[in-house]
Amino acid sequence: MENLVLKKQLNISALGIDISKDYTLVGYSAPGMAEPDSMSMSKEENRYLIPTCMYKMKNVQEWCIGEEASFRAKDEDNGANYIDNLLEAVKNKGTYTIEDKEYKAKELLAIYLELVMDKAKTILEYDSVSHIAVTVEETEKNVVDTIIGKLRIMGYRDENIRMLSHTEAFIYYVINQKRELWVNDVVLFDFSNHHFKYRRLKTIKNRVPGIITVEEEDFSKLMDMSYLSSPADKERLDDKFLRLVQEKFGKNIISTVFLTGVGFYDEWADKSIKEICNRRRVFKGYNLFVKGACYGALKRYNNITDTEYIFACEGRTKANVGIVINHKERQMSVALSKAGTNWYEAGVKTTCILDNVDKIRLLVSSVDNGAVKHVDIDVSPFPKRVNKATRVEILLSFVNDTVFDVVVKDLGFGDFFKTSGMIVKETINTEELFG
Amino acid sequence: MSGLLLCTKQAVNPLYVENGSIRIYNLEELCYYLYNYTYMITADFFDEKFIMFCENELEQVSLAQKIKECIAHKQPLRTFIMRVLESAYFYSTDELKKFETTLAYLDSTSVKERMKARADMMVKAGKLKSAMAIYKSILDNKEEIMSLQFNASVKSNIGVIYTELFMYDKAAEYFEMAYDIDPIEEYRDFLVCALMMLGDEERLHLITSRYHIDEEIVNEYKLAFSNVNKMVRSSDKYKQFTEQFKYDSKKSLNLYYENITHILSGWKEDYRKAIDA
Repeated sequence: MENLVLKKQLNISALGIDISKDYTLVGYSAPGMAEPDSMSMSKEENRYLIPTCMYKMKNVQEWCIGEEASFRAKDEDNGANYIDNLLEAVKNKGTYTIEDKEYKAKELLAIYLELVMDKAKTILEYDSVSHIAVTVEETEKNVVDTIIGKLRIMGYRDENIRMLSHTEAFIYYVINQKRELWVNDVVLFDFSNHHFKYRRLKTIKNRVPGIITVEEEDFSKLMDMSYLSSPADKERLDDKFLRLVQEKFGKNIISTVFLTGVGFYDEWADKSIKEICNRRRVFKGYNLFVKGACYGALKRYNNITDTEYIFACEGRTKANVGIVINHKERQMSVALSKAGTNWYEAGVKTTCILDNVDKIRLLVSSVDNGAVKHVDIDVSPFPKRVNKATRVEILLSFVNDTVFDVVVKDLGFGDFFKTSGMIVKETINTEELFG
Repeated sequence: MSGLLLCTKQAVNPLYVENGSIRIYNLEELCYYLYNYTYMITADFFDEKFIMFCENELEQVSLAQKIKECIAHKQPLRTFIMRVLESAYFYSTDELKKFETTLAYLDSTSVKERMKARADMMVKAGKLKSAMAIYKSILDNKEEIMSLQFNASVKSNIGVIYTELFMYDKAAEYFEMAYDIDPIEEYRDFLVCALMMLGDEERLHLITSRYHIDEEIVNEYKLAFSNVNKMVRSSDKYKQFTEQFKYDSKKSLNLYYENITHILSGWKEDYRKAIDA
């Protein structure tokens, strides 16, 4: 697709950035565009992939990214000032030492992100961005905190920022295609320099709300880029892929298959592609995740409403969390966090008054099987006061899609009773809770 | 039914209650105040400021409207209070039924009785100066006749406040006035104790003569004082406390003075709170 030459003073509705281990892509959506598009680094040719790497210019505090970083690293110093594998380093709270100075990986990721966005602004010539979504392979907390922290510093408000896993971006992409493409299951094969992943999107319609679920499997040990080095190996890879397709597609009805990642650039999969294309729609490209990110930025649901389906996939919470309260002398459950929410956005804060109780009961229900468990948070250590004279703050925050913290703080009761400042904290693992 | 109650909106600008120097930030605190500090409330609590607080800060428009209607129809105080409590669902039906007893008392008591109840609550809350002012205004108010017993009770309570403020001279004066009006044992004993605390033997002798107080009673109290004194002085807490006032060359002088200053500041602070300063 041609890259549109955009006029100045353009407002981007949604900017999507896909930061993978090997490559970064930028996508965008603006008023008048039927669907998001990818940004090319060059106006003369289609160069959409930005290598996810950085290079520090010698003896100055300046950095470059992408292909320029790769070239300079090769030309100038054999890689002493070169940085790649950035996401993994952030996950592990790693550091880099360059020219005798230590840099935290998260600082460098922040710089990388800013430089990517500078490039985007230069190339797309936009005036403003309303919503921004960054998609990464998995929404690990350190990576998420770093990216969102940087975007906040750059002036973006929390409600306009989204962090999505590749799986979530996949879902957003699919549900914004024609309904016929996902009437049955949809499969994605993601073949990059670092992995070979299989994802299958299913829609469970006989529940209310319905569930869009994605199962994933990693076949990186079975298939990797080393098989592309020779024709014989390519043929072996094709055979492996064919067997995988036959095994996975066997009894399932699959409407559409997407092939993404640099691994599919080469023509090696003749037999397997033929098998895949048998009564299915097949698409090959590189920008599925970044387009999905753009859709996700706008929380767009072309064909469904956001109450019709919940997402059950990596990066999305697996359980509903509610609290039991009294209202007009009846007990009822109030939802604090709904399953299928992006874990980073699933936190909530509320305040309650204790009425003759020394524990707070949470109701946790699994989206998989509907099972409900009680979790009681013991607040008996809080100071004993007159009844109904203790206000507590309940803060629920997820640390990933299956684990959440509940922090209960004694707030006292206004001018009548001062807060003791006491806090009670519990960590709940929904996987362990539901076995 | 026990459990959790969800909180409602928090006001940016609280409602300031002058009587108790309390700021009310939300509907829950308002209900708590009305339920537990009933005797502090007068009809002028539900004024324009209150209505605006309900409308603008708490966003309880319907409640504000009900209060306006109460004002228009000149409803009794209890109706105002119940309108708020019923709107909030903060207290249960059973709790409100029990509260009816308190409200019934409000209806059956005179203005002075309600004032006294309010002042008594203030004493419990440590607001001695405010309580004193109310007790004295009860005595100054000649419009409503009060019984001798009630009069004496108010004067005795003023004496108790002066005792809390270590003003034993004034305390004795009021206890004597109370005893004059209503010669019950309690006031007699308060009077004797106040004079003992004052250390004015001559005055004590004069009082015991005037009121024919048996020397045995005086001696009983002297013995009781002595025993309490010994008990306190022999306690570990007292010993630890007095140690802080002893200086030996082993301690740093600066640290010693700092410690003493800290203790004295604490006492001053407590005293200021007591006299609402």
